[in-house]
Amino acid sequence: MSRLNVPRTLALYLAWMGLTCGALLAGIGGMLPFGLGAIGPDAAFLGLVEAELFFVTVVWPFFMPRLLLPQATAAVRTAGPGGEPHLLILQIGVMMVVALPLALVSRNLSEIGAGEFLRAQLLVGAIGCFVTALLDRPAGSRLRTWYFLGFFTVSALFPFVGFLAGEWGKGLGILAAVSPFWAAAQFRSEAALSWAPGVQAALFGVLALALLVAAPFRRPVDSPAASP
Amino acid sequence: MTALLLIVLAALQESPDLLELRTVTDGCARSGCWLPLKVRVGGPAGFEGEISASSDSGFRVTRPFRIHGGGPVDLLLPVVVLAKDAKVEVALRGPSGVIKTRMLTGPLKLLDDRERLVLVDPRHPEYESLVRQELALPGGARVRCVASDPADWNEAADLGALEAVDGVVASEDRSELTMTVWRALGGALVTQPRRDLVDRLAEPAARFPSVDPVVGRFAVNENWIPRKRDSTLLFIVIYGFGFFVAVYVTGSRKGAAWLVPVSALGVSALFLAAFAAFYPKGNLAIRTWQGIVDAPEAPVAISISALWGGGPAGEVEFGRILKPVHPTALDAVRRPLELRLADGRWSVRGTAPGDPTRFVTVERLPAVDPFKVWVDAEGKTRTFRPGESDYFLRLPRKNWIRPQDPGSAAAVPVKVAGLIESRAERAFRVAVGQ
Repeated sequence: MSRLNVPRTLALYLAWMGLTCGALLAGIGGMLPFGLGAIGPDAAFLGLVEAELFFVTVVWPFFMPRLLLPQATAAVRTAGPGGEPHLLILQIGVMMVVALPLALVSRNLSEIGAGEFLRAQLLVGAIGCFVTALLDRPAGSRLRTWYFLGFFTVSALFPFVGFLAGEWGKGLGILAAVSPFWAAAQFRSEAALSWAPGVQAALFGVLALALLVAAPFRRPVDSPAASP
Repeated sequence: MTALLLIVLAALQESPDLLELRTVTDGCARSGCWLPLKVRVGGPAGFEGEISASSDSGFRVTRPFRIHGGGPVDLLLPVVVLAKDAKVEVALRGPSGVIKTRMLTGPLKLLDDRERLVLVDPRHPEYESLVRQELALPGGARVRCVASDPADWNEAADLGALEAVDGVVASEDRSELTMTVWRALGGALVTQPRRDLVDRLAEPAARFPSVDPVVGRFAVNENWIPRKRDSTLLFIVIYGFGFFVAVYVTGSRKGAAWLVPVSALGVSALFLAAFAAFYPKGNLAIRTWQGIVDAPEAPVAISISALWGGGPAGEVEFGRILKPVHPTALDAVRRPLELRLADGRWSVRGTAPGDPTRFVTVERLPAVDPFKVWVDAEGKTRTFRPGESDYFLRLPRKNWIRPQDPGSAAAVPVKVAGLIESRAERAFRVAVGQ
C-alpha cells in the first residue's frame, strides 16, 4: 500500500463516489429546484450499475497509470506487464466495497434478489479486473487508444447493429448482449437475456486471469529488472 | 349389528357439516352490496375450520371458527352478489380441505336503487301488517319489509354487512341494539314504524357497491413513495459528504497510503450499519381519500384507500368494516381476492400494489375536532373540484361537504408487512343532520 500515489488515490475515491452518488441523485431527482427525476425506484439499481460500469471502463483507465508511485512502477517497468496489477485490482475491490451501501440501498429500492444483485456486481468487478490486467503495462498509454476503440465497438456498435438488423427484420437482437451496458440491464431473472451478465462476468473474469497468469511469461528473459 | 349401526350413526353425527344456510335479509339483496348470510355449522367439540362464501363478485369471504362444545355454532358470513341469477356457494373447510359445500337455495330478490329494504322483528306488534302491506314512500319508492332475527343485526351492522338495508323495525325490548355506525351512515332504527319509518326512509342509507366507476378517480400517479425517496436522498447525500470528509482528512496525514483506503472502508462499514439500522426497507404505501362524517349518532370516517408501491403484499389487515370496490366489473374479477374475517376484523389476501382495487373502510371515531377551513400558505381558502367529493354524495341527511386539511384526517387501520407510509390525499368534512 505504501506504493500507492496518495493524492491520485484520493482523487480516484472521490471521483468514484462522486459519479455513483451523482448518478443516483440526478436519476432520483427532487434535489433540484425543478425536481427532475429520470428514474423510478425499479431502475435505481440499474442506474447505479451502469454508472459503475462507465467508471471502470472509461474513467479508470486514466487513473491507472499514475496510481502507483513512480519509483514502484520503475522497479517493475522492465519486468513487463503483471508487475503491480494486484494492487490496482485491490483498488477495484476497495471501490466495490465503498459503493456497497449505495448498492444495497438501490437494491432495496428496485427489489432485487440476492442472486441478481451478485450477478450485476460481479459483472462490474470482472470488467474492472479485465481492464486493469489489459492496460497495466508499460505500453499502456499506446494500448489505451486501441482499447477505447474496442470498447466503443463492443459497447455501442454491436447493440446498434442489432437494432438496425431488427428494424430490417433480421433477428440479430442478441448482438446487444455483447455490450456490457446492455448485458447489465438484463440482470433480472425474468429478463429476455438474463444469462448475459453471468456469461460476461465469467468471460471477462477468465480473460483477466489469463492476462495476469500469462504476464510473467512475457517478460524479457534477460531484463535488468533484478538490478534496482 | 345394532352396536355397529350406533357407532356409524355416532361417527356421522360427529363429522362437521353445514346444517343450515339462510340470509339475514330473507333473500333480498342489492347488486354489489353485502348480502349477510347466517351459517349453522355442526361438528365435534374442538373442531377448527373455516367457512367461505363466494359468488359472482370476484372475491371470496372466509371466516375461521372453532366449535368449543355444546352444539353447533352460528356464524355470520357476508357475500357480495352482482347479478340476479348469481349463485352463492358456501364451503366448509377443515384441516384436510373442503368437507362440504352448499348452495344458497331460492332465487335472490334483487332490489333496485329506489327500493328501500326494511328488516322487521317478528316479535314486533305490527310485524304482520308491515310484511303484508304494500308500502311506498311519497315519491313512489317501494318499501319492502321482510322478517329478520334481530339477534343477527348487531353483528351484521358492526361488520358493515347491513349496507343493503335502509331500516330496521325492532320491538321495544330490544335495547341491546346499537348499530351505531350503520345508523350514522343513514340506517333507520325505529320501534314505532307508523310514526317514524316513512320520514326516516326519505333517503336511502349509504352504500358502497363493489363495482363503482367513481373510485377510478382515486388513483396514485407517482412512482416514488415520498418517505422512501426522501430517505434515499438523505442517505446518499450524507454518505457522500461523510466519505469525502473522511478520506480528505486522512489523505493529509502521515501514513496516508494506508489510512486513505482504511478510512474509505471504515466509512463504508459505518454506513452499511446505518442502512441496516435506519433505512426504511419496506416498499408499500397507502394513499387515502377520506370523508369524516359528523353524524349525530357518532362521527365516522369513510376512507377509500389504494395500496401502491412495489413488491408483493402479504396479508393486509384492516379494521371492522371493509369493502373492496373496483371501477369496473372486469377489474373485480381480474385478481382472485380473499377477504378473511377473524375476531371481528377484516384482512385481505391476494392484492398487490398498483391494483385497481380500492378498499373502502368505515371506522367509528372517538371524537372529531371542530371544523377548520383549509387554507393555503397565503391564507386563501382552498377549494376543490366538484368531482372530488362525489363519492361522499351518497350519504343521506348531509348539510354540507367541505375540504379540510388532509393532515387532520383520521388514521386508517391498515397493517401490512413492508408498509412505510400511510397518507391522506384528500379529506372532506361531511356535516349531517338528524
